[in-house]
Amino acid sequence: MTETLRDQGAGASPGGVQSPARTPVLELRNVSKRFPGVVALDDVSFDLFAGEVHVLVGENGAGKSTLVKLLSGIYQPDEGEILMDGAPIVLRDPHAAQTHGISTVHQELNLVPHLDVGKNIYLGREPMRAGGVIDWSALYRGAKEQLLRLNIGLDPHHRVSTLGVALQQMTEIAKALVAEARVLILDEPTAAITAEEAEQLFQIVDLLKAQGTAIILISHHLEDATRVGDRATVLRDGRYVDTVPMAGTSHRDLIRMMVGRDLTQQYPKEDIPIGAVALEVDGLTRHGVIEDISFQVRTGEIVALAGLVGAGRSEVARAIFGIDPLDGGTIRVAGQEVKIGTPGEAIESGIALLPEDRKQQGLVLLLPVADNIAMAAPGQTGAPRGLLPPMAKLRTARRYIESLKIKTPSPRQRVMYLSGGNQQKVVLAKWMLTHASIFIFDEPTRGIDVGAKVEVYRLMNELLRGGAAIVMISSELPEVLGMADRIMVMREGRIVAEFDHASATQEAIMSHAAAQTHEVEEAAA
Amino acid sequence: MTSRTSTAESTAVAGEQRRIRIGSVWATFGPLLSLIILSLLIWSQESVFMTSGNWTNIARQAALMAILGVGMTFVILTGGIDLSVGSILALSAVSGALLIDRHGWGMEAVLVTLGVGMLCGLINGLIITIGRIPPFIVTLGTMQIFRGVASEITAGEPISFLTASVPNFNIFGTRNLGPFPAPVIIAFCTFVVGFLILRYTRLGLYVFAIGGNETATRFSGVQINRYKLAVYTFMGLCCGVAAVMLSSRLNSAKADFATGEELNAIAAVVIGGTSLFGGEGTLVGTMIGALLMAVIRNGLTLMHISAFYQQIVIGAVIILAVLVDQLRRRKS
Repeated sequence: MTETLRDQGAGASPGGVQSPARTPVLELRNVSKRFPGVVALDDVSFDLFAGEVHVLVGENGAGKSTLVKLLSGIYQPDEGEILMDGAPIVLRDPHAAQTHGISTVHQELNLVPHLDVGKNIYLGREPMRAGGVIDWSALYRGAKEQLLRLNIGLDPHHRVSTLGVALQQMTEIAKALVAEARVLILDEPTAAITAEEAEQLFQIVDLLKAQGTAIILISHHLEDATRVGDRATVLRDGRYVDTVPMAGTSHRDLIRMMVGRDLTQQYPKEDIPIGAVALEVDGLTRHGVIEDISFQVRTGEIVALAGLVGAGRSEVARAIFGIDPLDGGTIRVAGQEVKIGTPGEAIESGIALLPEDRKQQGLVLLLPVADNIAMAAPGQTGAPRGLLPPMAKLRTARRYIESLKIKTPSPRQRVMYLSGGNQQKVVLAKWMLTHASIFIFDEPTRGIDVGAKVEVYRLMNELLRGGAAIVMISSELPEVLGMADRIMVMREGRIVAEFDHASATQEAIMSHAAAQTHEVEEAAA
Repeated sequence: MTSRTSTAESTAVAGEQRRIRIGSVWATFGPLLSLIILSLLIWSQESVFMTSGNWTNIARQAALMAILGVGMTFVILTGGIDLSVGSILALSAVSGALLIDRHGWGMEAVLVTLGVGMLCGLINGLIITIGRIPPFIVTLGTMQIFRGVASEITAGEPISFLTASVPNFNIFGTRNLGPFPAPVIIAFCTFVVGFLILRYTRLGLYVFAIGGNETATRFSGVQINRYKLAVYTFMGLCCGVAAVMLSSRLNSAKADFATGEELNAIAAVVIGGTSLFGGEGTLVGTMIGALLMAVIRNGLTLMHISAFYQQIVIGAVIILAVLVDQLRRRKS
C-alpha cells in the first residue's frame, strides 16, 4: 500500500554513505551490559558520524533503551568501550554525558512544568551577571535565538505546562543546543505527537543534521526511520544484527531483521459472519469535545475510529464507558437503551474499555497479574459476595494465562515486570472476565512489539468469533486498514467520513482527518 | 515469537522474579532482623530485658501503636494519611466515659466509644471523598476539631475512677487472659481482622489497587469513594478499640489522651515497609514496626538513657528504616 510508496520516496537523502576515512563522533566497541539474570546488550558495536541520523530499531527488549542509557550515562557498560572522536571516554553519570556533548531527549520529557520555556532551556546554565545575579534579559534573548535556530516562533515566556507534547519536545531540543550538544539522542520522539507535528520535528532534525549535529533516533515507527534516517542499526535480543543504509532498505527487510523471520501476515483479518447490532450510539454530545456522534457496531464486526490525536476519538470511548458525563445522546446495547453514568454501569451493560494508556489507566502495575485480572469482576472468580480468597483469584488467573498465552512466570508476578504485549493481554483478561460483549480498544497495540501485535489481532478475532463487537481507536493507519470492517474518520469532535474495509485508503482517511489536505500530502511525500 | 526470543524473555523474567523474591523477603524480614539484632544488643547490656515480665511490658506498650497501626496501614495503602487518630481516640474515650460517669451507663458505653470512633472516621472519609480534599488537609483540620470537641464536652477535666460505677470496666486494659495481657489480645485480634480483610476480601484488593493506581481502578468500574469511606471508617473503629483499651487501662478518660499518637502509628507503618505513596506494604511489617519502637523505648529506659535521647533515637530509626527501604528499591 502506501507504505511501499513511502519506501521509494524517502530515504534518498544525502549523507547516507560515509567515507571510511572519517572518524566517528561517537563509537561503541563490543559493549556488553548484564543485569541479574539477563544480558541486555551482548557484544554490540555502533558508530555515529557528524551530520547523520542513525536510527536504532528493534522490538521491545531488543536493547535499544539500554544502549541509550549507556550513552546518556545512566548505565555503565560491563565490557567494551565508548569512544568519542576516537578517544575512549567514561560516562560516569548523566552529567558526564552532557559535558561530552551528548544530550538525550527522553520519551518521558525532563522539563520543569511550572517554569517557563526560557528557564527550562537554560536550567543549570543560566547566564550570570557580576555578583551572582541571573541575567534574565540575556536568558530570554538566548532562548528566543535558540528557538529561532530551530525555526520555532515560540515565546520563551510560555509556561511549559501549557504546551503540548510537541512543543515541549522542541523545548528539550533547544535545551540540548544550549548545552552545545554534538550528539543528540531522540528516544521515541513521535510516540505521543501527531503526524503533522512529527513532520515539523523531522524538519528540525534535518536542520540540525545540516549544521553537523550527529543524531541517534529510536522509533517504533519505521516510517520515521525512512523519513529522516541515513543508516539503521538493528538489534534483536540484545545482540547486534546489522547496520544498513536506509536508502534501498524496505520496511519488510527491517522487520525481518527485527523479528528474525518473515512476518507474512501482519494483519490476520478473518472473515467472520456479522450479526445483529450490539452497540448503537445516537447523537452523543459533550459540548466542546464531541458533537453528534452516531454509529452502530454489530457482533463480529470491528468499527475503527480514525483521526488525528485530539480529534475526540478517546473522548467518545470515555463517554460511552461512563467516565465523562454526556450533554446529550443515547446509547443502546443489543437494542435496549441504557443509562451509563459510571464505569460500573458500563460494565453491567456488557461494555469493556481497554484504555490507550495501559500503565496509567489500564493496570495497577504494583499488583500481581491475578489481582489485576480479578479487579473488574471479582464475583466471576466464583468467590462469595464481598470476599476474594487468593485461591479464587489465582485459579481464574491461571485459566486466562493459559488461554491468552500470557507470558508470566506466575499469576503472582507484578504486572510491571511483563512486556507491553503481555500487559495488554492482562487488561483483556480483566474484561473477558466481566463477560463483556462490546470491547472498546483504544490504541490496542501502542508500544507493543511487532510480533506481539499479531497476537493481539488474533485475540480480537477470537472475541469476534465468540460473538463480541469491537470498537477500535487507532492512530496507526495500517492497523486500521488491516483490521477494521468499517472506518469512521473523526475531526474536531465529529465523524466526518465513513469507509468500508474495501474502499478505504490511507490517503483518503488522512485527507478527511486533517483539515489542511495539502499538508498531509507533503508529510507523506 | 522465535524460540530465541522466548528463551531470552524467560531468562529475563526469571531474573526479575529472583530479584523480586529477594526484595519482598527483605521487605518483611529486614525490620524483623533489626528487631532481633536490637533485642540481642539490649539483652547483652541489660539481662532483665529478656525476662517474660519485661516482654509483657513491651507488648503492652506496643499494643496501642499496633491497634492504630492496623487502621493506618489501610489508610496509607490507599495513598492517604490520617493525622486525626489521636484526637478520635480521645473523643471516643471521653464520650464513653461521660456516659458512665454522668449518665449511669454500664458496659454498653463501650459500644458508644467504638461508634463515636467509627463516626469520626466516617466524617473524615466523607469530607475527603465528597469534598475532594487531600486527606492530609482534612485530617489536619479534624485533628483540631475532634480534640476541641473532646475538651469542650469534658471542660478539660479528666473523668476518673470509672470502675467505681462499672466494676468490670478494667477488663480491657489490666486483666490477663492466660499469660497475655488484655491489650495484647485486643491488638492481636485487630491485626487478625485487618489481615483477613486485606487478604480475603474485595475491600482488601481495592485498598492496594486504589493506592497503586486510582485511575486504572476507577476505569475498572470500582466505586472508589465507597471503599475510601470504608477505609477511614475502619481507621476510626481502630481508634475506638484503642480508646476502650486505654481508658480501661488507666481507669479514666481525658481530652488530651494520646496526643501525638498519630505520629507513632504512622512511624510504625513506615518502619514496617509500607510505602507512603500507597499500593505497597504489609500488616505484619506494621506489627514489627510497632514492636521495634516499643523495644527501643523499653531498652533505652532499662539502660537509664533519658527520654530526650529516646526521642532522638526513635527519630533516627524512622529515617533509617525508610532509607534502607529506599536503597532496596533503588537496587531492584
